[in-house]
Amino acid sequence: MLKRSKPILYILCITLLMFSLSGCVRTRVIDDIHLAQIVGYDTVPNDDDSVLGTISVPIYTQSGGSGVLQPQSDNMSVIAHRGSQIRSNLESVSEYPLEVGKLMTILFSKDIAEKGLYTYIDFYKRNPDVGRGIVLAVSDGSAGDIINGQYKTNRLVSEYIMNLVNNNSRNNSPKTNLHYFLYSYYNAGMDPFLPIIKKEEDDLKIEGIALFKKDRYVDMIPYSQAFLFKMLYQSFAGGNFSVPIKDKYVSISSISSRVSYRFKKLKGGNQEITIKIKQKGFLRETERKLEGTTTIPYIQKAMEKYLTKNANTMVKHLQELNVDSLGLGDHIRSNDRGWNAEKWNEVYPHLNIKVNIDVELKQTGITD
Amino acid sequence: MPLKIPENHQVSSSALFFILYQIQVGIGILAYQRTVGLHAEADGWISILFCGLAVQIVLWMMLQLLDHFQGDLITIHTSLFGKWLGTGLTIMYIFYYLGMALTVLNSYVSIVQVWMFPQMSYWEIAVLLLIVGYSFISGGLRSISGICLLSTIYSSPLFITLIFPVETSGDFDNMLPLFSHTPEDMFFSLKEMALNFEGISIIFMVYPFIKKSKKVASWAQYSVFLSTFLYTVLYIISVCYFNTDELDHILWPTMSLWKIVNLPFMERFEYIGITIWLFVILPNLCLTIWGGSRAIKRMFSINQRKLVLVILALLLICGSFFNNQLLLEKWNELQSLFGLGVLFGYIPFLYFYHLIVKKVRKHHAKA
Amino acid sequence: MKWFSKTQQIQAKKKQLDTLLKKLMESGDFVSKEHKLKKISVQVSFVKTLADVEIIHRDVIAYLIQSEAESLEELRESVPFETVMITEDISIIEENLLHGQLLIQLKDDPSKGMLLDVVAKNGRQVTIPEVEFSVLGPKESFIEALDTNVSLIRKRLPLPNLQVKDMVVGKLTKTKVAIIYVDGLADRENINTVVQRIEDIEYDQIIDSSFIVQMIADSANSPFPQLIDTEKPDHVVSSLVEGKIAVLVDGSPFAVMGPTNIVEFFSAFDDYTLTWYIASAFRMVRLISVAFSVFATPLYVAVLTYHYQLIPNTLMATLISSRMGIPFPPLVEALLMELTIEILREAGVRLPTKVGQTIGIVGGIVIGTASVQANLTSNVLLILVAMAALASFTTPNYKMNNTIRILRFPFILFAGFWGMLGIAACFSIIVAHLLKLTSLGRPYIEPFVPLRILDLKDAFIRMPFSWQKMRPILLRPQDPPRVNTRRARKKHDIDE
Repeated sequence: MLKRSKPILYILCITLLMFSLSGCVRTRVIDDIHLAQIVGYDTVPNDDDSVLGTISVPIYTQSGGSGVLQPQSDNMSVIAHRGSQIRSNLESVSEYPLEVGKLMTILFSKDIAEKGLYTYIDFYKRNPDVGRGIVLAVSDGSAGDIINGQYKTNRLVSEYIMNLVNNNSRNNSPKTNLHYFLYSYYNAGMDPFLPIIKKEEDDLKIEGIALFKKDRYVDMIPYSQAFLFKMLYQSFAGGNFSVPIKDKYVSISSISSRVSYRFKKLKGGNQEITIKIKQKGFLRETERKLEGTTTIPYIQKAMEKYLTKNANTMVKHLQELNVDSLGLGDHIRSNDRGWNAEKWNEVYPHLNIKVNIDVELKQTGITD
Repeated sequence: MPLKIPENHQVSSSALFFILYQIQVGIGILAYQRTVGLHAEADGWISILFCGLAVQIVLWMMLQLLDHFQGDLITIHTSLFGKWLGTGLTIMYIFYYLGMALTVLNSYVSIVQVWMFPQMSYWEIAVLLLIVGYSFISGGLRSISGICLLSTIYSSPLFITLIFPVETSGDFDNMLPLFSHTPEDMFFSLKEMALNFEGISIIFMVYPFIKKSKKVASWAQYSVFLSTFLYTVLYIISVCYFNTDELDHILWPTMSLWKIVNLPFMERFEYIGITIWLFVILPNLCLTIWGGSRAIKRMFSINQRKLVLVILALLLICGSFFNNQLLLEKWNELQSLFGLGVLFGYIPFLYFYHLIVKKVRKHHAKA
Repeated sequence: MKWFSKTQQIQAKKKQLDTLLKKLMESGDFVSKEHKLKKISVQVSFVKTLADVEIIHRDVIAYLIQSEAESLEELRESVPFETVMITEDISIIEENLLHGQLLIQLKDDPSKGMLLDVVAKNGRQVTIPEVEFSVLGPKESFIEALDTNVSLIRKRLPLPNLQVKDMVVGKLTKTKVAIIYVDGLADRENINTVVQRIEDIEYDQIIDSSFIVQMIADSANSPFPQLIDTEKPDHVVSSLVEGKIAVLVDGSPFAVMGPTNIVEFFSAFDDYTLTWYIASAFRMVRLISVAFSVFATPLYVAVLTYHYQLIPNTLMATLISSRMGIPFPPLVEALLMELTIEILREAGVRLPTKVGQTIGIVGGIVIGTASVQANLTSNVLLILVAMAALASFTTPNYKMNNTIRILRFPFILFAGFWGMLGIAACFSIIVAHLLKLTSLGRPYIEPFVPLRILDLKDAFIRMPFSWQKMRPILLRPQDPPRVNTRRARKKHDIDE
C-alpha cells in the first residue's frame, strides 16, 4: 500500500525549512516601489557624451475609504554619462526603488533619435519586466519639457501620451509600439517609424510620423499625410481624411482600406512594384453641392487623382531618403527567392514603384 | 520471460498518451524556436514535421521491441547482450535519463531566476522543485501518470492564449516563400528539433506498467502526432509574430509571445505562464527520475524510495555546478548530441540487431 | 457425573448473574422486584430510566399475574410480545438489560433469563435537516435512534435486497452500528472492506459516526474527508441505489457513505431537482467559489508582493492607494484578516444561534470598517477575504467546507515566500496527495485521474437523467445499468 502522507504537516515543514533559505530582499510590494511610467531622453547642450534622463512616477495618496484620488506625479531628472547609467543615477534621487515593469511610454528627443536609439532600447528589450506594448515616441523639442509640463487634461503625462498615440493608431496613423519597432528594426527589409509629439501651450499633439533608417531618425511625414502613409503601409478600417477638389474640401470617413503589393521583374534585372489600394468610405462633409448622379463619380475620380499624386510623391521621397518604412523589401522577400538584404539597400532607391488608388464612396450620409 | 507488474500499479493504455505527450512538451517548447530557426528559418516548420515523422518511426521500433520482449529496457538489454554488457548499456541509459532530469531542473531554475526572481538562489528554487517532485514520485507511476494527465489539462489554456499574438500582429507573409532553404539547413534544424523529442525513450521503462490492450501503440503514436502538431503551430505563430530576423535575438520566444496577452484584469501573461509551466515540467522531472531509479532498482534490487532520495540529492548538487548560462548551454549541447545519438542511432541499431538476433536464433532452433 | 457438572455450571452462572444484578442494584435507577404468579414466582428486573414503565405495567405485569405458566418457555406464550429472547448467555443479558430491556427470571432457576423489549422511545422526532439545506426535495433528516434511521431508509427503498448488517463497536459504549447496502448492486469487495475495517476498530467510545469515519478512513491524516456524511435519508438512498455502502451509528444523526470521490462533496441535492443545465450552472458557481475561496487571498499576497507587473494600470491606482500607509507586508496583512474571519466564524458556531448572528454582523462590519480606517488593512483585501469566506460556504458538505477553510493558510504562506511559484508548488503538493488518496481503496479524484469519461457525466456538469443510465464505474457496481438501455429511443419527427 501507499504510504499515508500528511500534506498539511508536509507543507508546514517545507515552509519552515524554506524560511531559513529565503530572504525577504526580493519583495517588490506595490506601495514600497516607485513605478516609472514615462521615461524621456534628451541631449545635454555642449556635452555630446552625456544624456539627460527624466522619469515620472505617480504618487498615490491614501484613499481612506473615499475612492481613488487622482495621483500626483513626481518627476526626476538626472544627467548620466551614457544612457545605461541613467537607471543607477536615478536611484540616487528616488525615495523608493525604481521599477520599470509598468512603463507606458518612452520619449526620445529628436537629437537623441538622430544619433540612434538602439543603445537606449537595448535596456528595455533585454529587461523581462518591460512589456512589448509600450509606446515609443519622438519629441519635437525637449522630452523633459513634455514630461514636466502641465496639461489641461487631469491625467498623468504618461497616460496622456499613451492614450494620444493609441487613439491615433486606431484612426489616422499606423500602430506603433516597442514590438513594432523591434520587429521592423531587426527585419532586413523594413525600417521602423514612430510618432512625433509636440507640446503646444497646454496640450500635446501628434505632429507626424518620424521615419527611421534602422534606429536613426531621418525625416518626418507631417500629420496631414499620415493617413496616406497608413493607406500605403497596411490594410485597415477607420480614420478620416479630407481632400481638396478645386479649392473645396471633401471629407471622407474610411470604412475599409485594402492595400496589395504586386511585384514584377522587368527585363534587364530591374524590378517594379505596384501598390494597389482600394479605399471604401462615405462622405462626411462637403463644401460642394451634390447635384444629380454625376457628382459622386466626379468626386471619386478627383480624389483618386489627388491621392495618387500625393502617394507617388511620398514614395519617391522615401526612396530618396533610402528609408523603407513601408516594408516593401519584406514584401518582395516573401515573393522572391533570390532576395537578399545587401542588394536590397542598393536597389531600393532606384526601384520603379507605382501607386494605384481606387476610391469608392459607399454612401453620403442621411441627407443628399 | 515477461515482466509482470501487479494490476493495482498498472495504468490504462490512454495514460500512455498523456505520459508521452508530457515528456515531449516540456521545457524545450519555451525556447526551441530560436535554435530551430537558426538554420531553416521560415521553413523550420517543415523540419519539425519531418522530425515528428522520424520520431514516429523510432517510436514504432521501440514498440516493436517492447512488444516482442514483453518487458522493459533491462529485459531487452539482457536478452540481447547478455548480463554484463546489458547492465553496462542500461547504466548508460540511466545516466541519459538522469541527464534529462538535470536539464529540466536547471533550465526551469534559470527561467525562474531570469524572469521572476533574479535574487532567488539556485538552492531555494531547486529544493522546492525537487520536494514537489518527490511528492509525486513517491506515489509511483500511477501518481506520475496522474500528474501527466492533469498537466495536460492545466497547460491547454496556455495554448489558447497564443491567439493573442496572431490576432494583434501576426503576418503570415513571414512564412513565404515556402521551401526556400537547402536540405542541409533543414537537416540541421531537424537535428536541433530532435532534442525536444528525446524524452520519448521513457517508454522503455513505462511499458510494463501499461495495461495490455490493442490501443497501446496507437495511443503512443497519437501523442507524438499531437506534440508535433503543437510544435509546428507554435513555430508558425512565432515566425509570424516576430519574423525570423528578430527570432534570432529572442531567448525564450514562447514567453515573449505571452507578453502581449492583455486581459481586463491582468496584463503580462508570461508570469502566469512560468507559474503554470511548473506543472508542465513536473511530469518531465518525475518521469525521468522515476525511470532512472526504476532501472537501478530492477538491476540491483535496491529500495526505490531511498534511491529516489539519493538521486534527488545528487541532482541538486550536480545542478548547482551548472547554474550558469554558459555552462548550461554547453550541457544542453552535450545532452542534445547524446539524445540525438540515442534516438536516431542507438534505438534503430537496437531494433535491427534484435531482428538479426531473432533470425539467427530461429535458425539455431531449427537446426 | 454429567448431571453434577451441569448443576455446577448452573451454580456458576447463577453466581455470575447474581453479581451482575448486585452490581446493578447499587445504581439508584435499577429495579428488581419479585412477582408471584399463579404457580411460580418470578424476578423482574429493569433499568427504570431506560425502560418504558407504562409498557411494563400494562403489557407485562398484567399478563404475568394471570399466567399459569410454570417455565419461561410457557411464560413466553402468555406475554404479548413478538420478539422474546430466552438465554443463558450472561453477556447478552447484560447488554440488553443495559439497553433498557426487561429481564424475567424464575425464582427457582435464575440462571436463565427472558428478555422483553420495553425500551422507552425517547429522543427527538424526525425533523428538517439543519446542516444540509436544500430548497426543494425531501425535508426529513436522521435522528439519534438507529431503528428510526433504518426505517427512514427502508421506507424509501422497499427491497428484499436491502441488507442491514448489525455490529457493535466501542469497548465501553457498545454502540450499535448498521452497515447498509443493496445486495446485488454494491461491490462485494467494498462491503468486505467496510466490515473488516469496522471490526478492527478498537476504541472505548464511539459517540458519533464521525468517530467511525476517522477510524475506517484510508488515510487518517489527510485533510480531505474520504467518506461522505449526510443527515438526509434521501441522499443515503440515492447512494445505495448507485451501489454505495452506508454506515449508520446509533446515537448519531449522520450516515456515512463510501466509496466516494472528491466531486461528490461539491454536489448538492438541488443539483438533481433543477433542469440539468441550470443545475450545472450552479454547480459551476460552486466550484468557482471553491477556487476563489482557496486562491483569492494567496493571489493577492503573491501579486502585491512580487508580481506588480500583472496588475493593469487602471487597477493599479486602486490597489496602491488602498494599501497606502499600511504598516504590514501583504503576507502579514492577509494572515491577520484571515485569522479575524476564522475567529468570527468560530465564535458564530459556538454561540447560540441568535447571538451568533449578531456577532457575525457586528464583528464583520465593525471590525472591518475600523481596521480599514485605522489603516491596518486595505479595503481591497477586506473585500477579498469576505468574499472568500462567503464563497467557502457554498460547499454543501461541512467537512469539505472546513478543509477548504484550512487549505487557504498554507497557500498564503507559500504565496508570501515564493509568489506565484509558491502557489503552484503548494497546489502541486496537494495534487500529489490527492493522487495518492483513496476512498475505501478506490481512487479519490476518480473521474479525472484515472480518466473515466463516463463518470464525468456527474462531475463538473450534471448531465440529464437520460445520460445517467450507468452506475458510476468508481463503485464497481455488480449491475452497472440503471435502466434497460436496450430500449431504443422513439424517433420524433415534426407533426408526428
